[in-house]
Amino acid sequence: MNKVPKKPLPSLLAVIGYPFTIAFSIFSFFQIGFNLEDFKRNFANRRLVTDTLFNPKWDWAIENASQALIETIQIAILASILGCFIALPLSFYASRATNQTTTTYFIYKSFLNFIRTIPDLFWAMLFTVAVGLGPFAGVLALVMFSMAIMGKLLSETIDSIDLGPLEAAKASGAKHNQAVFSSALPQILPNFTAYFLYIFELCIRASVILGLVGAGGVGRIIETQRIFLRFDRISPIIIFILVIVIGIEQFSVWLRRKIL
Amino acid sequence: MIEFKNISVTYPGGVEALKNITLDITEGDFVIIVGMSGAGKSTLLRTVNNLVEPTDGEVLVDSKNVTNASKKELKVIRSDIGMIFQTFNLVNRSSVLKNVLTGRLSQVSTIRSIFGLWPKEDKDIAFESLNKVEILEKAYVRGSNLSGGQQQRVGIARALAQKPKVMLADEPVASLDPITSRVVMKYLKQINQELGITTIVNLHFLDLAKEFGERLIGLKDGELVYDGKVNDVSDQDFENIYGRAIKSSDLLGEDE
Repeated sequence: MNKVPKKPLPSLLAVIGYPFTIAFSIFSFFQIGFNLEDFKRNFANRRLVTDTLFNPKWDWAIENASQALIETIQIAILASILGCFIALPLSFYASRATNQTTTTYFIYKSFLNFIRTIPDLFWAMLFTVAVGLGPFAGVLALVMFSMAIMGKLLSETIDSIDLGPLEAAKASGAKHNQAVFSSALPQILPNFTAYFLYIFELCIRASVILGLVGAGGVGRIIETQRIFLRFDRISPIIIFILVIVIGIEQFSVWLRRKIL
Repeated sequence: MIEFKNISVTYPGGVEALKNITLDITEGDFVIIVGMSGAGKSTLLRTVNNLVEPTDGEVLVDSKNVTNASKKELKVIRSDIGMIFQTFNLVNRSSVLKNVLTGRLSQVSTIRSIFGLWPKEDKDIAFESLNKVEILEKAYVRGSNLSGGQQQRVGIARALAQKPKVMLADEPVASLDPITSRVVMKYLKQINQELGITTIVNLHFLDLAKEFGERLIGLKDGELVYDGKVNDVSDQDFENIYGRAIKSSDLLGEDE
């Protein structure tokens, strides 16, 4: 038998990486003051929250929060549709596969990265200043939010498409946009739909929070009731949101199975 | 019809794919290029529609200079050149008809093609092309639901829909079984004879080359080592092309 080659040494990245990750986790654990004593002490006061939380005031919520809850969903629907459809063409410019021009590729990619680094609540604050308090600011904030996520996910999906059909279209004398539209777009449509449903779900959850900075939706009600520790009024709202999110999730699963 | 004038191709990284090739292909010819993988067959074919740009020399198609053409001119030239690929390159999720209509993209505006507002005559051309390769009944079937041989026929139909003057086939049967291979070659030959489309086919099976070819071009390491009638090729010539005696793996084999 020939000589069996020597097993290569583990890579430097692994040698340094694993111990570092473990050490850093332990360090962080102490650094943020994680300690079970606090937990135990506060656990005695749990009834302050749980008594009210498990005693939902349905009537109050239906009367006072349903309008805001519907507004929350409307914000999420409008924002995810607008954001995702703006991101669709941008993603093709932000992918190496469909944009060979280095400068424009870099500009679009950086633009999407830049939008993504700004948190959704910060966008909401910016837009409440720009267009005033209310759901419109919330919609604009979540448009940026969904556009950034879709741009990231979709442009990376486009990076890995089959380039053959694109070459075939180019070889037939098609213009660049025609080639992209006829050959690249159909390849990523199932992913686009799946991402869209995921982003819609994220938007529902994000739009609940928007009210904190006055950008519309049910968040404002949650915030004011929380200040007075009225968890009995908040809990039905949370349950409503839970039901909606589960409903969307089920619908996504069904739709994804249909189209993929 | 197609003139290669002293073309050389060096890829980034220094690989010399083609070394000073000069060739003249007459209108209506059915030319087969053979050679081992890496001999430069694909590269040579791709200089015809400038998918690969020669580092030196130039290619003329129908007296038009492909190599120095502007982007706009190149699109016009390419619309006259159909191409068929080893891996078919269909959009699997789109219908056969949509795939074939890709061949008509150069003739319609971007807006029309995006919204699928195809003029009736373009659709008719697509159906006609599908009919030519006898797969018309699959027009509304998804590309992914076809067998390999059927997919390649759709590939041929897509190229035909361009109403091309030149047809390039890059290893069109390398992913197919022997029987299907002959069917695909038969269609290519038939199209060449009936429509007079100048056809260049890359192959690596010698018997298939002998069976269907008229003129044979042999490449070895980017150099032209044979150019002549298929019937005149001797075993010695094949050895020159392959650098060794013919083995059974160079032959596709008989169809039962």
